[in-house]
Amino acid sequence: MANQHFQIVIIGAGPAGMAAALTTTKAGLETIVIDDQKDSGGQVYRNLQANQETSPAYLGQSYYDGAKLAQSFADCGAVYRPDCTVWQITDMHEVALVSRGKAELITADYIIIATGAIERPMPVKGWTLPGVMSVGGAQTLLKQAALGADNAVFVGSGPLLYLTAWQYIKAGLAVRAVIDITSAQQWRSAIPFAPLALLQPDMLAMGRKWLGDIRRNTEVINHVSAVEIIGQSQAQTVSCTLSSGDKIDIDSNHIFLHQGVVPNVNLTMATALAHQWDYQAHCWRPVIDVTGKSSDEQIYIAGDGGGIGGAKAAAIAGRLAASAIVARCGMPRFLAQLYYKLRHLHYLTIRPFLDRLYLPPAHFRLAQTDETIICRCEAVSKAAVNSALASGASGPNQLKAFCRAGMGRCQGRSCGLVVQEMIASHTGQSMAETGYYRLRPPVKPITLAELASLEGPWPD
Amino acid sequence: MFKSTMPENGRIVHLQFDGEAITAFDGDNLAAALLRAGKVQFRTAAKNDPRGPYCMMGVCFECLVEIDGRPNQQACQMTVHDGMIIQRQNAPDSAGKASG
Repeated sequence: MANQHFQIVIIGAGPAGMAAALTTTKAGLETIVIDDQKDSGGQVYRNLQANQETSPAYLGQSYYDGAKLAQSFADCGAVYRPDCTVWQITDMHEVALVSRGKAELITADYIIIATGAIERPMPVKGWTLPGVMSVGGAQTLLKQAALGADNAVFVGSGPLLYLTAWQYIKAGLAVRAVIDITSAQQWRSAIPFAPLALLQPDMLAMGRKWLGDIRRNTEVINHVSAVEIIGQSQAQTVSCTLSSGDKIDIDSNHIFLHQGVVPNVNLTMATALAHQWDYQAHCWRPVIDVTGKSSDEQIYIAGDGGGIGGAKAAAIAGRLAASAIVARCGMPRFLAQLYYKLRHLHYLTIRPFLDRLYLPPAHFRLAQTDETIICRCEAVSKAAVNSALASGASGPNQLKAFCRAGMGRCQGRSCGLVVQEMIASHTGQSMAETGYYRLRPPVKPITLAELASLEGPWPD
Repeated sequence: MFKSTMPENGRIVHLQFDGEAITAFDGDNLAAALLRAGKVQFRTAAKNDPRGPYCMMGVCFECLVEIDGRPNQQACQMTVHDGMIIQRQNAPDSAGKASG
């Protein structure tokens, strides 16, 4: 197949990618949306169209709010390519992907990266045991397969944790406990930003409702200083230590961990776009302007991949990036752009509050015991990372060579932030100075057979 | 143990997991089908460390299994088909095996 060309290539079909496609197709720009899922919606609206047939109420209104966007996207005329793995964006703005075992290159005038967020790693002892999942994973099972587990324990903090625990309760599942790691210190740092967050009364009301229903229906454990999970071949018990020194052991085979989400920067970093350390949200984010334009003039980043804002902000960010591109194609959209900019800012007013309230305390961002696995792929423990640091590993990339942390298939997605912070606290350097793993394509593993299936013509 | 939160329906398909017969519904996500069947360990990582699905969105690579002879398949990204043969993928990682 000769290289295909589209004016607009959108990567990801969550709220940002779908909304961007509505704007570009309406302006008559040839648009393709490449998605690694089987169906549009991203993670937040995952399996939405199928769920609408039976409409389980326990998924909640915020989930079904995505229905209109998903339907408009299905009707918008963009070429939709599900089940594709994008493994590289070249400096010639070719998007390289694998679909059904075959590699393709698609060239673009403009690229919108809308690859969303991933969960921040939560390295507690025993977190690799089968039966321990991320809260996002547990929620995906509920949306994708209507599967849930009785007697589960939710550990951590953040809106996704409360939403999922609430969905579990509404689905009639017995939630054994919620172990909430939010500390009084975080409340103190967040409270000054509560007035600004009042500009998002619906979101605050939703959060209060989730928390209220959770408190009424399950045991909530606060003032937690340490958590570990015990088991041989699968999780058996979660043991938490309270700040009073007391210990609580809870038997459960299903333990769901979560301490927030961060931009999924693997593709944007591997594309060598500029990134900066975000001190408020404690994560990396690509450097983008107000419309989402990255350090590469032809590449825009929309949605949570450009900085966490949630599904509604993501959809507006998609519109904003797309209308900026439409304007550059000679169709100015002054009023639309102004409107999207203001709405986007409005949605983000809750972030200074939420980012501070749910920033996990340092002792949960960093592992607490020597045996805790840091790099899941290569089974590298905290002790092994520390011994690499003691031997003089000076940064994330050198540390890879010392102990293999970050060298596995997930390419640092499960350990990068933890390793970086361990290095920073060892050297005393800032997170920005410490830097992150140098990420390179392919951003997801592909086989040589897949790579070899790529057809020319080849550039010189 | 995971259970269905909605009435189950759909065409039954038959899978094999490490030689054991398992049923699933047509169109099921593979990781979800195995979890519904009570299978929580999908592979071992380095140092014989037992692992199962963690993120369910293709990020963590903890749910790798061998499907119909192809190693390194992310169960959370796959859809079942009738007659699918799944093997746990045990360390050392099967990087030496050809796939594809």
